[in-house]
Amino acid sequence: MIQSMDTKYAYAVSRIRVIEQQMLSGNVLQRMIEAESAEEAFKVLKEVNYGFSANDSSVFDYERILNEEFDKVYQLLMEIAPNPEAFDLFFIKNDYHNLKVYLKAELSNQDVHNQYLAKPSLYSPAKIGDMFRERVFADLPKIMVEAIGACFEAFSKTADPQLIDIIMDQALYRHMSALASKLGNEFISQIVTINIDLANLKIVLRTKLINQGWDFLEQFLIPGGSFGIDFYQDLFEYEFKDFPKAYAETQYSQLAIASMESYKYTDSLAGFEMLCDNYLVNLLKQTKFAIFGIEPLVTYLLAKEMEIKNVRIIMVGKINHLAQDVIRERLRETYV
Amino acid sequence: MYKIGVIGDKDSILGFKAIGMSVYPVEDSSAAKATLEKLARDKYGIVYITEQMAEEIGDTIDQYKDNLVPAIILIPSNQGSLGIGMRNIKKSVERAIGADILFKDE
Amino acid sequence: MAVLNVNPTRMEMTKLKKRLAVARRGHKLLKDKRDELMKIFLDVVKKNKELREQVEELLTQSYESFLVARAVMSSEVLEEALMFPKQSVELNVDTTNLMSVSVPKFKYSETSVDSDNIFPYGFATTSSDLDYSMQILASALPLMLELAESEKTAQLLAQEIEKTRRRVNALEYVLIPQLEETIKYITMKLEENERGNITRLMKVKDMMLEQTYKYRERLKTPQ
Repeated sequence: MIQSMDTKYAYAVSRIRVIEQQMLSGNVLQRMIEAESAEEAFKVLKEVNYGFSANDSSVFDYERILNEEFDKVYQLLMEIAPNPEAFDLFFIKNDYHNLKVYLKAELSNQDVHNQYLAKPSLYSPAKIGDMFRERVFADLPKIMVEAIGACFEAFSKTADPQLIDIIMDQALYRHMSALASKLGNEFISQIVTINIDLANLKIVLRTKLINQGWDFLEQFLIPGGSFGIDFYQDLFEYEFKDFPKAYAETQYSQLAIASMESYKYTDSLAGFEMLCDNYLVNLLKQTKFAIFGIEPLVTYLLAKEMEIKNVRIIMVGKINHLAQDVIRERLRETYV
Repeated sequence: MYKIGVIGDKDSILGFKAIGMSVYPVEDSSAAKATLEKLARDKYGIVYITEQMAEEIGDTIDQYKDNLVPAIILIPSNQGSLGIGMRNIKKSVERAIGADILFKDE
Repeated sequence: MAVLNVNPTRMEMTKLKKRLAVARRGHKLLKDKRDELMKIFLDVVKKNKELREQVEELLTQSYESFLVARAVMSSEVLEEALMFPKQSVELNVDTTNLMSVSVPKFKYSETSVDSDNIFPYGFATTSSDLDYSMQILASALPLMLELAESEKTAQLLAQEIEKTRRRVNALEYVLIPQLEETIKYITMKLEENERGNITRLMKVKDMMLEQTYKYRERLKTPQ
């Protein structure tokens, strides 16, 4: 709480309040959806100066433009935040992603293509590449080093590439929790907890859908979060329609009801995944009037992430000629 | 041992990777043609190619028609079927029988 | 129908008659072969059509979910999720002989840890629509391979049938009629020669009788 009141953030917050005015409104997204072609939709991105090089790019470069736009956010935060390392926990997922890529490449004799790698990350992919060549990971944080070791070991026993993702995902969330508790910021801890809870719910739902048993689920579940292993063991026995009962006394009660309703009608978890994103956006909206503290910066970061996701949904939809309604249905709530 | 290749736009074909095929994303039919010719020289027993990419390179595909491998098989892209794969079966029937007796009710 | 350019001799005719017999026998054999190929072809092509319908339907379903997953995942995350498949397909191509046509037999072996859990990725950072898309794709795999086999077989059979039909037609409408015509021509020519010979012989006989009995002299001299 003391840190949130920190006046050091006053300048940064005032900058953010100006910059977030430029976030894409629902109207702009609608214009993209209603554009006649993917090219026309892409033109809207050029108009609003998305990324760095939209003007010299074709519609097929949209992924690069989205990455550039996110890089802009990263650079801004690094510039204005009094303690840039506070944001590490939001970028570290890209490091874990890159580690997965290098591990899988190594274990299946593939080359690492640039298009596989995620930016921005704490450790440059080139550096990680060097570490893999030399098999020396000492410069990385302990959680990462242990996870890498665990991946090599698990793979040598099972030859199952899925385990790499499972181990790395669990390490990622553990790492995020550790960094969050070091920061001691309630808002950030809350976000990490919600991320873990919803990821675990997604994992339970998917495990049931592919008819796997508890043993399978257990190795997947992410430790930390609001619920212990017993909770998930009980939940796993429920039918989907009874899931809301398990979550009745929690902050997710409405989310659980709406998600299962959506599943009932669509036979897909796409609605659930959207509701999870919206849940987070609504949490972010609570910081709208803060004048001090790290919260508005975190909110801007996550809101931009969601905006980029929305733009991607539209671009993928337009390029693949999805109907406007179908695109609209998938769109996440906007922060602005 | 032969390989199985898939040629098409990335959003359509990337998933085939997960079931053990080698995917070759291309953005236009000239790239599709070059890729197909490369795979045909390599040890590919089957090459699946999306109709959207195959549409304009029918001549190249026909070159391999009478060879045992590769079998070049058209598949729809995520834009839906253009019916070219089905029409090719029809063409086979006409080639063999001189008349279309299989599709006449349609 | 043009007549072959041959000498109208008895020896030539014997040769042609032999050729005609061979051509007729060949024609019958080729026609039988064509009919048999056609029968096999029709079965194959019917299967081909069914498989294509099934595969196209399954792929369409799989694409639909894949696109939803694709839209909500960044391309790096998607690439990473799929970059190291659990399952690999090894394809063996054998050939079998169908009425002297070599057609491929695709045999494949899947190496997979568990056929229910074909997913090579984690569930925390990926979209669940990817699972459905992969499940359908995995169920389409055997059908896709069958489709490839039957479509290739149909193409090769079609080619062979076309070739055989052309040969049957060449025999039926060109060579056999030509031989028949030529034989007829030689027969006529020989008969004509025969008639000419008889006329000539009668003439010679007349001349010989004349020489011997001098009929004309006798006719001139009044008795």
